[in-house]
Amino acid sequence: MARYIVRRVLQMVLAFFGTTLLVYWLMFAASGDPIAALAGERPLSESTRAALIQEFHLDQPFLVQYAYYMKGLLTLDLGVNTSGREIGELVASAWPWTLRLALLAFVFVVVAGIALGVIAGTRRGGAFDNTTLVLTLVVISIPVFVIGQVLALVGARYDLFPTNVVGDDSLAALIVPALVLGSLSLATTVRLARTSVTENLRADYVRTARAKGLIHRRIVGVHVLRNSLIPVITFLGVELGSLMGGAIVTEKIFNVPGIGFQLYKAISIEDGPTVVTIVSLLVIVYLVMNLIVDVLYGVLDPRIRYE
Amino acid sequence: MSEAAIAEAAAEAGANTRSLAADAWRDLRRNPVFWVSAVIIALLVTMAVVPRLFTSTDPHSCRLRDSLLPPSGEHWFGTNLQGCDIYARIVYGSRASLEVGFLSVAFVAVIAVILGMIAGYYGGWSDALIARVTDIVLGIPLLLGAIVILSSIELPSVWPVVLALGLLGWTTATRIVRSSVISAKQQDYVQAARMLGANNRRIMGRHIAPNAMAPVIVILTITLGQFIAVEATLSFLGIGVKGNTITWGKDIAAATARVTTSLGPVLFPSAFLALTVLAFIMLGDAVREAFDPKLR
Repeated sequence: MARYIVRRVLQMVLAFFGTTLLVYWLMFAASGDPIAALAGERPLSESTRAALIQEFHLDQPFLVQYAYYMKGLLTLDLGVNTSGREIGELVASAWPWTLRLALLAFVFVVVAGIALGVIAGTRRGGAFDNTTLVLTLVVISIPVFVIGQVLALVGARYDLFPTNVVGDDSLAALIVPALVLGSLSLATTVRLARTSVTENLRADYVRTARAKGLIHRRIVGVHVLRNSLIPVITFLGVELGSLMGGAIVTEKIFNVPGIGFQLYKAISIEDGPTVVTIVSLLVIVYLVMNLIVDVLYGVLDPRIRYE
Repeated sequence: MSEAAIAEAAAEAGANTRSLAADAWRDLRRNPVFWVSAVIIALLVTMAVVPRLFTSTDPHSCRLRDSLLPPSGEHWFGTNLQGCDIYARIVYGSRASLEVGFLSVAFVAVIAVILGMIAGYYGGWSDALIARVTDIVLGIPLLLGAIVILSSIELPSVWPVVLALGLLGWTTATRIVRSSVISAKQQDYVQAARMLGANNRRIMGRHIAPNAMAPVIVILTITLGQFIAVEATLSFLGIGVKGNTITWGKDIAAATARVTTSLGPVLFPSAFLALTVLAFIMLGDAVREAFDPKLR
């Protein structure tokens, strides 16, 4: 087990440096003159310019700049954006919103997804199963921003629920945005759980349990559920990371002042440093979640460890 | 047994054993889901190639006097805020969506087939290297990576989006090609070809590739639908296809500001977008079912 964890951690460290280098390079290769962006309308004197170039290491080669950037990132010094504001501060104020939104969406996906999937899987071919299949397919095909926009429209027109989260501090205001954010994951989870349950219901151990005279509820609730949740858990773990990254669309539609909202704002004012920092942070969250899931998966299923 | 009898027996055996592709095609022909999605996709492709077949209205000729008209005989889906005909804009907007979808999937297919074949066929250090690069690219969520790439390219065409989706979207397809190449490599006919003196290129091109492509075709069909959705999302965020090109995502985004007063400008392009994505996902599902021997 220890060897497996060490191997996964090493793989993650490699992926971490690779992805951040890639993101940093993309932004480095593309950005214009950052000093001009920082200065804005005011013309800068040569000496100020030289001092700023010195301060931000802009005279150094690319890899050295990347090393400085990594050093900052690892010591939680995220630097300043093009308007001179601390990015760390920006992220700290936005982070709780995204975390709350993503966790709410996650709870919704886990509870509703597994429940619906198990019910559909145990009644394969029935009306409930077919309805679920069609509905989930429809949800998968409609892009999240369309679902969000239509819900926001309906909510605003008939005054059903708040569609503007800014200024409304209650958790209730986040419920509809969380439903929107989680809709795609929910549909996938339902389908995954359904397939997994139907496959496991045909397994030998279910026949054995039935032959022993166990009641149906116990067979499904204990024997089948435990075995069919393994693929679902893997998917869900990776999904928590992507929910935070995917929040950009939902946060824009419902005006949630979270990470995605800040990212969107940074894109529209072409604030490169903020874009790269937020994307790197989200990539880190994503990688760490993947690592945790992989290790947990190794604990749950011994076959994985000895691959 | 005479030679003629052997040839006859062989011909008979040939008539009774169908290839996997022929079997799959027989299954597909009987599947209504396949026909529904194929007809939708055929219509959309025609729309993208010759939009004039579907409308004679110019999507760029807009009269502010006609702003936000409800659906009527003249404007089937009504007009948007600028007074442009929504139906005409949907017809002309299909081109950008399908171009992005097909071009980026073609890009992904080329990368996936080359890298997957190398990794699966040769194995060893090339396999390890490709696996590590795949890990790295897989660590970047598609939407976020595309945002970083596109926020820096100011080119008014579909190519930046195609580039972003292609560069970030090849990982799953590559892994699938790799694993199906590995399983095809161990088949008897590959050993036979090698003993007959075929070189690596011939084995890969004539024997492994045709037999290892089915799973990746399925995945690419579904990916095509997803890429169209991602393009619309990027356009919605204002960093997708730039310039004057009409796209569904941009039209939806533009209409959302007025969303409380008029539904049409948001709903109609959204419905077409969803229908397109749905058609590709259904086609992929149908093809997958046809190729999966377990489901027979």
